[in-house]
Amino acid sequence: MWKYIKAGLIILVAVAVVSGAIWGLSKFSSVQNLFGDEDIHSGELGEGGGFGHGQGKGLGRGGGNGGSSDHTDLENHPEGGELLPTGEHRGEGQTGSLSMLFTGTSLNFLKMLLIVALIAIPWAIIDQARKKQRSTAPVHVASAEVPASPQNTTGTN
Amino acid sequence: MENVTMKTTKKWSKLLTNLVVDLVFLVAFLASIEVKGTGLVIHEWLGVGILAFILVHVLLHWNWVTAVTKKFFRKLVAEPRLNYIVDLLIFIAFITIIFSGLVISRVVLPAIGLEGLRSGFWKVLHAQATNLTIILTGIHLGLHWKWFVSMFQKYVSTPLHMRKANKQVVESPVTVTVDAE
Repeated sequence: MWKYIKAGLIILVAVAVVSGAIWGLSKFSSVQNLFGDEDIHSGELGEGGGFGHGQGKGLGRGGGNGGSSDHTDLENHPEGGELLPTGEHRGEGQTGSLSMLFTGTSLNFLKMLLIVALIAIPWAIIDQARKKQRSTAPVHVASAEVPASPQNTTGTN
Repeated sequence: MENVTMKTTKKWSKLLTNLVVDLVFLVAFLASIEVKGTGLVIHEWLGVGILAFILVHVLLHWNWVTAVTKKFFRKLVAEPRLNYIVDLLIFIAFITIIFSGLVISRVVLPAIGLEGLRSGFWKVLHAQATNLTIILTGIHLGLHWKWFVSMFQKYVSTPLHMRKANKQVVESPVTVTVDAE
């Protein structure tokens, strides 16, 4: 039981350390620039609003502020200016370089499935080739004391 | 003999626990990233709940974590090292999602009397970390696909076949002939 408690505490400390590191890094302007300080909003579930000077850089999905017809984008407000809180982040816009690959949140499951297939199929082929190689090898020596995958171990006992 | 059976059952139940926890974790994660489907309230609370899943998941594999950590910089074959690196990145990515999500929270933080930030930086970080986690989780599942298949066979496929076979034996008519002599 003590082992579980100790492990739990270590994990919680690790969570706190990672969170602290993220918070600390967020204070650096270079890190802020890396992720961009633009607001993101997908129009699909936007909650009205729409009075901001639409300077949102347009890397995000959607981009519509939803609701008000008073809202105009960069074309009508070339002066730009600070983006006012409008539709907020209900739609969870996906911005940046990764979003070029992953646009649209509704297909997340399929995207993940695709990655699983891309990894699992070659991995299975490699595994089978390795097994064949082992079976033809004259002497088999156990190479690892540690199980390759965490699933091969059970519990903390 | 009885002792061996009990040990096997105990081990199997732990494997089953692992499988159930992993599947629920996966479904919870997939549900939480579909904000449009769940709405903001479920999205945020489920996100906080995922922290508990992370804790349970790591605890269930704690022996492996400690074993690989001890040997990581010493003699260790590539496979556990690769799994370890992917798992560590997933852990960091998940904490980034949860932490940045809490910072911009509009449901969880107000529920405890705090106000979330309205910074674009945290929103972008939240979205980017989510994208990265989808990729990493896909890699993680791909690397453990064999385990999932074997677990499915052990706990779903084989018992179903066994049940079918037993049913056929019970349902098949038995004719008994007795000699009068």
